[in-house]
Amino acid sequence: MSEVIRKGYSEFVRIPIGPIHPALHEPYYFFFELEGEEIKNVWIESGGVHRGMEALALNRNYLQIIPIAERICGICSNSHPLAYTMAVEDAAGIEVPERAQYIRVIAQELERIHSHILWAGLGAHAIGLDTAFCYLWCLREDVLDIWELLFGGRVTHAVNWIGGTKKDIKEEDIPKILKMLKNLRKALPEVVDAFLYDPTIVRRLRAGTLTKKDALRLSALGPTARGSGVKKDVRWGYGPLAYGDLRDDYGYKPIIHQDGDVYAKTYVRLMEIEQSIDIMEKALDDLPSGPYRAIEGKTPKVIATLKKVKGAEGIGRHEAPRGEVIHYVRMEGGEGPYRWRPRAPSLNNNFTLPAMLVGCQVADIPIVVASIDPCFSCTDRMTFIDENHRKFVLSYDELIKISREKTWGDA
Amino acid sequence: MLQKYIAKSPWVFHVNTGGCNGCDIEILAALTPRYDAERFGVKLVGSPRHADVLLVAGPVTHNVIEKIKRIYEQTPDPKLVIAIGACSMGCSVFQDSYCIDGPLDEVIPVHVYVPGCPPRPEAILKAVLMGAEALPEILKKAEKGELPPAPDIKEKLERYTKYRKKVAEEASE
Amino acid sequence: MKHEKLLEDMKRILGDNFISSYQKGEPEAKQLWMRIKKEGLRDAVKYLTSLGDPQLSFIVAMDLEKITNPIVEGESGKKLMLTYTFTMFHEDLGGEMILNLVVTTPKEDPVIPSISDLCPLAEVYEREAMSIVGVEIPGVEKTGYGKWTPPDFPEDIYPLRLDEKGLPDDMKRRFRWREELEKKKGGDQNE
Repeated sequence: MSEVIRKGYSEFVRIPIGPIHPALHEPYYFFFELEGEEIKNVWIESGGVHRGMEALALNRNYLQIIPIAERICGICSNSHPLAYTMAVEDAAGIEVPERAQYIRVIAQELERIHSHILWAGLGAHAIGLDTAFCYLWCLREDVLDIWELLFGGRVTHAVNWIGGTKKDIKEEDIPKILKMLKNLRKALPEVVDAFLYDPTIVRRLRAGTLTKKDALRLSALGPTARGSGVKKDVRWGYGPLAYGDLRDDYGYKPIIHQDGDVYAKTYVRLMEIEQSIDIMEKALDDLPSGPYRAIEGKTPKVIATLKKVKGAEGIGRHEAPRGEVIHYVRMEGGEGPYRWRPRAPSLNNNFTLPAMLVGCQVADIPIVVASIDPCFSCTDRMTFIDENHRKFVLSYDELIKISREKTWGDA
Repeated sequence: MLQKYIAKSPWVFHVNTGGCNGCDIEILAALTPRYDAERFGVKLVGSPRHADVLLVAGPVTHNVIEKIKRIYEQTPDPKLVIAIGACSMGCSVFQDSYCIDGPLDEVIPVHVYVPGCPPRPEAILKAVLMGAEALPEILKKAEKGELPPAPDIKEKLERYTKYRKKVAEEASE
Repeated sequence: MKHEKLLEDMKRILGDNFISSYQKGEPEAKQLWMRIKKEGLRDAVKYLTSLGDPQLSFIVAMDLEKITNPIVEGESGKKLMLTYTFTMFHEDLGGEMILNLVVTTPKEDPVIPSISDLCPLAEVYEREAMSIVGVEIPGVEKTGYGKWTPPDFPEDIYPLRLDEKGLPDDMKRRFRWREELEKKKGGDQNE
């Protein structure tokens, strides 16, 4: 780690970033190898937030896993339980009522709106645009109010239940949701203008290119892949839940951009907010009546139904804000699954980081790392080691400062 | 003297010890215009060395236990530790896991607990202010030696090493 | 039908190494589950990567020790199973498909060939499989991105193994008050 690699006249300096700097989730450990300001090589190590969930799930029943799945990630707190319940339903062959499918779509799109706004805010913060950060997080609070109104929680929502949803959407709440969406639609153009047309910001966003070939080869997912021109969106391609119907009725398509840099990913995310608002309006309009759960009755009834299923395997898959979430469940007739395996999109996307970061400058690290939308405080604390093996620590603030100086000069 | 000013403007540093990130976005939300923590002088800083208050969320995974101890030592005195969320109070849904070394008060001393999964931004804000106000009392207690000493984490750090030794011994026999 | 052509091609390429397959979704398959022998794994993945489109989604590692209802005959007992999940036909709206390649290996010989040269991402999941169920994949380093267990975790214990190599009882952490409660209970019984 501490050795300096000599290559010709230049020296590579290695920077470890992390390790588990315990700030936000996914505290990964990055090693950067520098030649001057330019990044030459990147390694990733992991394990900081390993909580042994899969081993924990061996001793839990089918319904107890839902809260665990919800706490895999606080921002995707609807995606993971949804994928898990879909996997169980797929294995057990449970047909989900249409109303439940629409409610799930509404919840999922609400999450996408909130997550993309959150991302845009953090991205703006990373390049020194604090006004946009506060403005966007203010918009996000309105979305959280709707979460609270519909499902009773700001961050953890408990929407999903095996065979349907836990709560129904009440008729009288729908106007409030539509009002929020209308306000959001009005507020968005300003943000889009700032991000996509402001020359200073556009200049900063032109970094960290991922080619289409690399995106396919490294299995990039979600906006990271779509920003590189890969036409991959689980919602419209695979058509889980009511997305298939919505696609056929209204002709939705994946939003893609060919450039592959941070700008392209920003474009994809901002356009997706608009698309999600549209989907939510259409889904609320089309919301069918009927039951919202496939299995009538409470916990014992659900467990008893699932206990009858033996020797079945299933996969639950849908599009989370960051990309494809996929869960595997194997059922063996016990109270809980024999094996439950969740996989979050950031795992695949982090693997594409080296391809994006090589050739960038140190000041571009925050925004490029943020562009794949991991919780980027994994860059929270960096230790720089110079050629005399002296360590100096560059905190997240200082890193942001470097990044901002690149945007605004020596402000 | 110092305590008076800290109560007027507590600077916070927030640490995730392997939680789900839910508490962390609520801490950030407390700083944004809707809740506006800065009207109380609460400011998020980027280094524990500048902080008066540590906001710690998460169930303390085995990988971060040493780091959290180090961050606690890096924070200058007088300092406050606030455990945010159900995870840092009692490990929440992760309590049986082989990889969890929490809850937080077994690793570093904790002064204020904020229940909730996650707690609302208002609750976090209130905890910071309450803690800062109670600081003089805590310091007085500490001077008299009435506060419990910092917990010993040696046993926790040796947890896996013990098994490695055991396995090695069995293999050699 | 796309999946039928894919199935035919796979059968032709794998020959004896193909065991069985079934599909979910009618008439066009949404999921294709394919049981193959581990000797044919690399051939199958080589063919898939030559198509250009398929992406590796994840690899599921599993211990078959306590399986009582095997989906395919012989898929139980002292064996380990890896499921390689690929997604394909992304460009075709409404026609995206999942292909699962299921490979088993006995515990006495837990060696499975690596596919990380064909599909770089596989390295992460292979490393994970090595650390959680104890599969041996030659050519993959044991540490790095994908190893989740702590660095000082004992080498001979695999958290998701269900036999004697799994987590020992006293390593499963208990809540403090519960431990104390049990101690108290034990003390009462002694008295």
